Amino acid sequence: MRHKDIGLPLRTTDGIGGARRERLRHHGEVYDLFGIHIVNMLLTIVTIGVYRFWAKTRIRRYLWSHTSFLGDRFEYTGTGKELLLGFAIVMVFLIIFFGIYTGLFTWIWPEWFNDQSLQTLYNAPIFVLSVVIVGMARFRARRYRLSRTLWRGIRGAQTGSSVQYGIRELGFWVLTLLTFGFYVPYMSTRLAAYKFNNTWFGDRRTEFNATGDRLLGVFAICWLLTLPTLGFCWIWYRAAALRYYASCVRYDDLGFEVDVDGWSLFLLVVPNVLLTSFTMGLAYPYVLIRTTNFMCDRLILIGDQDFALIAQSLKPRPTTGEGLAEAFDVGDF
Amino acid sequence: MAVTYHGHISDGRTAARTTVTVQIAEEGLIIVTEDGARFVWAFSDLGRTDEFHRNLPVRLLNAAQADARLTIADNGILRPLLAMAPHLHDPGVTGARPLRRIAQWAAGIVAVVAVLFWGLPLAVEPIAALMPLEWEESLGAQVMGEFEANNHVCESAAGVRAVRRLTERLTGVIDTDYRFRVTVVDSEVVNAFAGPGGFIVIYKGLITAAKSPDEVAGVLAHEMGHVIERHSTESIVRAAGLGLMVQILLGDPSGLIGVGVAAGELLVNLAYNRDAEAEADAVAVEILADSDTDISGLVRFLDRLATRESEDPGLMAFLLTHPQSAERAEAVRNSGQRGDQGMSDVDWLALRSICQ
Repeated sequence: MRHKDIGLPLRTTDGIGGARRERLRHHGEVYDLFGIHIVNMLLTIVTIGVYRFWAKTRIRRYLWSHTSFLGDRFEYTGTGKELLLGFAIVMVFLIIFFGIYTGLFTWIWPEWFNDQSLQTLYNAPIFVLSVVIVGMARFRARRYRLSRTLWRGIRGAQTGSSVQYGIRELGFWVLTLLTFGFYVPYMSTRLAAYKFNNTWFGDRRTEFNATGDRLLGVFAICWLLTLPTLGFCWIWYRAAALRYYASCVRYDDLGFEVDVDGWSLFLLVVPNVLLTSFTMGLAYPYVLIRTTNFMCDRLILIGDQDFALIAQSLKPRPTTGEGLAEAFDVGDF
Repeated sequence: MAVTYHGHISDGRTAARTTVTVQIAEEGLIIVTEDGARFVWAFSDLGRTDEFHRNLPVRLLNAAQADARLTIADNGILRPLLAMAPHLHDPGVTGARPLRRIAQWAAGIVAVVAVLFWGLPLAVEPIAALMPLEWEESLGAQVMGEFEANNHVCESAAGVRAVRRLTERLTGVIDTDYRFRVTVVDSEVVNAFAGPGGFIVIYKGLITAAKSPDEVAGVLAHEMGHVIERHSTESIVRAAGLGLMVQILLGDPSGLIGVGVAAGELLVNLAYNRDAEAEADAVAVEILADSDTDISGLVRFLDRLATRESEDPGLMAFLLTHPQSAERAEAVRNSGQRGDQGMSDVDWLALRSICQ
């Protein structure tokens, strides 16, 4: 351990001074990512699907390492092995759970296999539970990704309990049903609050102060326009929510702004969906790059931050990743 | 004269960064900060955070201080650096050697295939055995519902009575919870099959091809053997299990992999067919013997299949689903029992005209 202490003098020359506005920059190229994607597809076929965890890792490592902020590129330190292990653990757990559940159910009502109402009784807890589990899956996947994301060697982290997050989501859905959907702005605000109040970079966390009231008006308009606009108005709602939420996040001395309106989001999302559905996955690298470019171009960090004050994260890190998200297919990429 | 490169470093303790100059020397990378602080990163400790990318600064880490990052703006350092620290060439960030990694992957894939093709079938029998009779009957009723919707069922009153009498004669001697429901369908195909839960289908073509009632009795006893041994239920469980495994492996069964797995499934089922036929034959021999029916009927039928398989394309269907007739005939013959024809002449005539 010769170099245990490099003894760097603390300099803060690179902070964002005087309410500067800084954007992320993305240097990825479709050509490069396409090469990775083709190899990934071939190896995934050859390995009857097992390679897909390493494939994901390759793609992420490429995207992260080609995105920079203030001249320093991000880093993705997750591995395919971690994803595979996370998935295997979840699968074993799920199979055992369903085996025991089905066994017990059959023991109590052996005739359920032929009985419509007993089948409903069998399915109902699974349905309720899957709402909780899908919420948990998203939250846990986010924790894994943050813990594997580095900038200038400093790690991200996420605290909070995935079970609590999943149960909250279930409760919010019940309220949403009872209010004919009008709880949605409150639900998404409160879920975002839980996520961002538990998001860390280094030893500091982000804070989120938003209220669903502010989105209720836009929501009501969209609710009424859903049929006449064939649902496309929800893209405008989404843009409004993104703008609002970004303005409600603070990290230490930094504020955020997302420069997105309905049309720009429409021009991102609709071609993405078309490209993904009609090219059998070949356009996937292009979709990823244009999405990442979109986000980097439009996310603005504002403020005067002294980065020397941000120390390394000591938060516990998950040792395996995203098993639930993989099992329930809610991982984004 | 060593070349001086420019870059910056973060120490991994805070998110600050400091401008540095870097030189390549014998003992390692010599890093000097703006304030004159000097330290050395030994070549053997150097690692990289990800692949080196053209047009992007070189980023290095130090195994002795894992969170620190050194970024060198000029890509030109790569050539002399790789000469001093060749381990940075390794395409994998993990550091495993390519050959070893390929070997590990191959072993992993073999293990997965082994689980799919040997491990899974091992679990099938116990799972099928756990399935309550009602489930099997429900499954069978579903299968039969679909089958009868697409086929014409033969139901002349006398023919149905003849089938029932033969069925009762054969089942009267065995101790089983299954209720056998035998259906004859109007088709020239020479075949018979057993669904889950006691549903048995005999094609008219098989009755026409049979020279005497004991041959039909033999085939029926054989299909009862399939029911009692739960072969049909097992194959459904096997298909479902394989489907589940594929879904688990792939996340989403689609495209080329799906086709490959379907082909594999066919192979697995064929392999298991062999054993299943022998098991069903053994049960059939028992049933026939206990009900005093002439076993030679089943033997003759199997013999005829074995010798005529090339001549009569109508027999192909039966052979495809009931392989290796010759060996099976031999096995059945060896149990050599004797009895009567299994049906009265009147019933036999009624059975032969069940579709009219």
